[in-house]
Amino acid sequence: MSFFGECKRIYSEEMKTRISPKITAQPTRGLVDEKIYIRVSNLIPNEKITLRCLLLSEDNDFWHAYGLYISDDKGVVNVAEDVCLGGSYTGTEPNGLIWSLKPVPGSRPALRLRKHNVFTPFLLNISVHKGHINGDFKDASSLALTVIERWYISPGVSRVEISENYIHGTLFLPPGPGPFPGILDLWGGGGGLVEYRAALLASHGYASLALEYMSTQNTSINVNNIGIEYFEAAIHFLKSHPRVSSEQVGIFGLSFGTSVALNIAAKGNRISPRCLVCISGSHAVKINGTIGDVFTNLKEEGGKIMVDENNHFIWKELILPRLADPSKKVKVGNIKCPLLLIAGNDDQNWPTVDSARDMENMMKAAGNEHLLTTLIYPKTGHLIEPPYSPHTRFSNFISAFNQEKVVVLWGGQPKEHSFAQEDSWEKILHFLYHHLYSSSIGLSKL
Amino acid sequence: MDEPFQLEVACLPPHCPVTLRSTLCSEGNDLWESFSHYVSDERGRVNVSKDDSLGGSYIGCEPMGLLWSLRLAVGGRQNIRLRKKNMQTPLVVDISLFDGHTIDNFNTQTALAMTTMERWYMAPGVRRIEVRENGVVGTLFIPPGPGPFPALLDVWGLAGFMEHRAALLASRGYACLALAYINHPELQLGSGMGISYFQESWKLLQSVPQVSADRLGLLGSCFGAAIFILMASELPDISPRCLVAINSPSGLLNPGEGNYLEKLQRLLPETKLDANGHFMIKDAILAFGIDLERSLQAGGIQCPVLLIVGEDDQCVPSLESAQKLEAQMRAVGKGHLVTKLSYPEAGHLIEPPYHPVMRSSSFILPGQTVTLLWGGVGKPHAAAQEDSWRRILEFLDKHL
Repeated sequence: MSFFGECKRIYSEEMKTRISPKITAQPTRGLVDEKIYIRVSNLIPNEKITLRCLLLSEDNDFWHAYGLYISDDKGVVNVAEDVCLGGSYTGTEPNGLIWSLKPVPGSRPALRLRKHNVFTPFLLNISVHKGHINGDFKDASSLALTVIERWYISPGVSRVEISENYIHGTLFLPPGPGPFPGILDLWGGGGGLVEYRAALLASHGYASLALEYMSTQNTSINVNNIGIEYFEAAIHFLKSHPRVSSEQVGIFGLSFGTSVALNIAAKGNRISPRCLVCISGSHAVKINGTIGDVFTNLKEEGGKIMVDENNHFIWKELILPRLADPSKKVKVGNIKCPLLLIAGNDDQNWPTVDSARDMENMMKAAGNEHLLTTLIYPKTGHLIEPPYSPHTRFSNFISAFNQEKVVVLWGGQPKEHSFAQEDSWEKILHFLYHHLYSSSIGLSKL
Repeated sequence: MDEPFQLEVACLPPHCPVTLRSTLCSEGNDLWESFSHYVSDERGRVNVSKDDSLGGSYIGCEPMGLLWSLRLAVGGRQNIRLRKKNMQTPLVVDISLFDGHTIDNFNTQTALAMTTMERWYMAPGVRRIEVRENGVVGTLFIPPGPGPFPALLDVWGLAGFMEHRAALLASRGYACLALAYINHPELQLGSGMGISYFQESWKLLQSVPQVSADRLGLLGSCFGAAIFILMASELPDISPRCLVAINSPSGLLNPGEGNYLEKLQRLLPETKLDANGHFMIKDAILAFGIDLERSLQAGGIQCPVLLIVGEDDQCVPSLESAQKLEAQMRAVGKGHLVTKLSYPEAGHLIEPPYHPVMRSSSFILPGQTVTLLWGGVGKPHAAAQEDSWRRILEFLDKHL
């Protein structure tokens, strides 16, 4: 019998007599931003094992992550406390099996993991394998397996499609009669209707409107017809919704969405948000006419577009020259509400750190810097998503403005970027709670 | 379903009286509800895991009180047990917050806030397989993964067939066959009641590929447990690694009595009603030739036995039976195999944790519907459910 065959025979004899390893993962069903606790027991003491997390995305790609561990004297591996010796991550990383998820070898290139349907969970298969496996799981059978569900929406949250008064989006309402604080949730230049963050915010008690403002399919939303008034109408819609507390409406933006938020807040009219969360954006994008004009201008003025050694596009210098020109920047000195600014210093897509510094200076000069809290994270890229989304350093991007298909470099390193997502989200929830709940009268929260 | 939850209320004014109300709509479309009174602290918060309830369906610090004190709402059907038939969907519990200390008319008030909780019997990845083979009727739950898994046969009492405990056990890592033997539409009357039926079930479970054939156990309540005790004691081809019996009337069965249904049918006409109109089965059992002397000899059991007893069991003489069984095993030098957990003020229906506690409910017998008194008092019974489940899981973990 060949050596390999002999090994297999020994393996199966051993399997007959040993007690099956047991793997438990908590919570079995939870929100995507909840920490996971994975424990393996009934192993042989000081046994080498590999833990693997496998997921099938809605786009039909397999994503996986794995970590190499050694059980203790009692035959137990506790991921929250033990050291991972290699694999997709190293060190003590309780949630490493999720945030280090990457497409399996052989997958299509430049993928990004995003959830389209918030009413189904991500199903994570977490398995234990004998020995230290170097990433190729084709022939590796598992010793034990468990399945957990990760949800963007908690029980009781309702989803309402909105297309009235030309606003197009999805409103997520927490359970109960309300009234709830409201959040306008804005994404960036990729366009479309992205719901998962709004669903997650509603699961934390905020009536959240995911707004579509750039669509390739919905012709009623044409960026050449939409200006700042569109977003103001969305805020007005939220404020006058029967289940929303009109005095407690804020804006949450990422990338271009941040620029929109800053433009609205600086306008200082009756549409005044209660607070702003601005991730990976810049004030050097002024919205004077239509959104279409704004995107056209982005290309036309100054700034260079670069590519890296893989031909991935680096756009962070595109609007850099504007920082020197006050007429091209939102007058953030006029902002009257608390502002949480979050950026990664390895952002290759927008000049977010330079913009943040410039905003600080402008607000200092105007005397409203007490409203500003800035969080800048090292080795963190552009796509600062809710935890524990896998870090994407680059991915396919189709601009909703001109349907160009490119691969964009977002930046960031997995471990530091994942920490930034976890840390910033905690601070975001704290910030929102402080400004939209606890400082208000008449809203109680379960 | 057996996991505790944390419930906190925030953003209230300080020292504000509030009422928390939990509601559940069962599969039978009955409304269950429970409520409790709290007062917020100086920061305007209520923490149900730490604070005392000052009144309502329960009093004192009861982190899970909003579940186990659920009872049928006034105005609807009464006297019905909470039963979940579909294991693939959760029990949905809504929890609402009201101003002040209210005791009724919740529907006319506006809640201050609300949240929703899902309680599942089946963890993700657990597989549910309906079993109809060799005359055996039941449902098999298998944990996710390659296995092989330790396994259990799970039975209930005369109420018949229920899947929820087997689903929970599979969610905790045991392949579990919920076995029907009585009161099932697909079982001919009496066909599930013979020894051969149980032998067949045992063999079937052993033959499941994901089951580790030499690590099988028996877990039963009430009448089913009595049958299991008999099997383990008398049948050499049935060798469980361990046995759990919850409120078993082991005195009711004698070895050699192949068909227990006949015995039951003789029992029923003897049964009287008490002053409240409750069907006093326990008295009938005790009066009916118990003769715990003549009852089954448990001395033949070779494996560790965990006996769970509700001392206020009004349905079967659970305490007497357990004491008898323990004595029998001690007499043959096997006393060390027996662990008896006896819970004062707990009744007959010791369910998995946080199940609503019912002191009596209606019960369908051949030819009549009666109200059975189960026994058990609110908080002590709920505590017994919680503690016994933990002890059961520890016991199974140790022996399987």
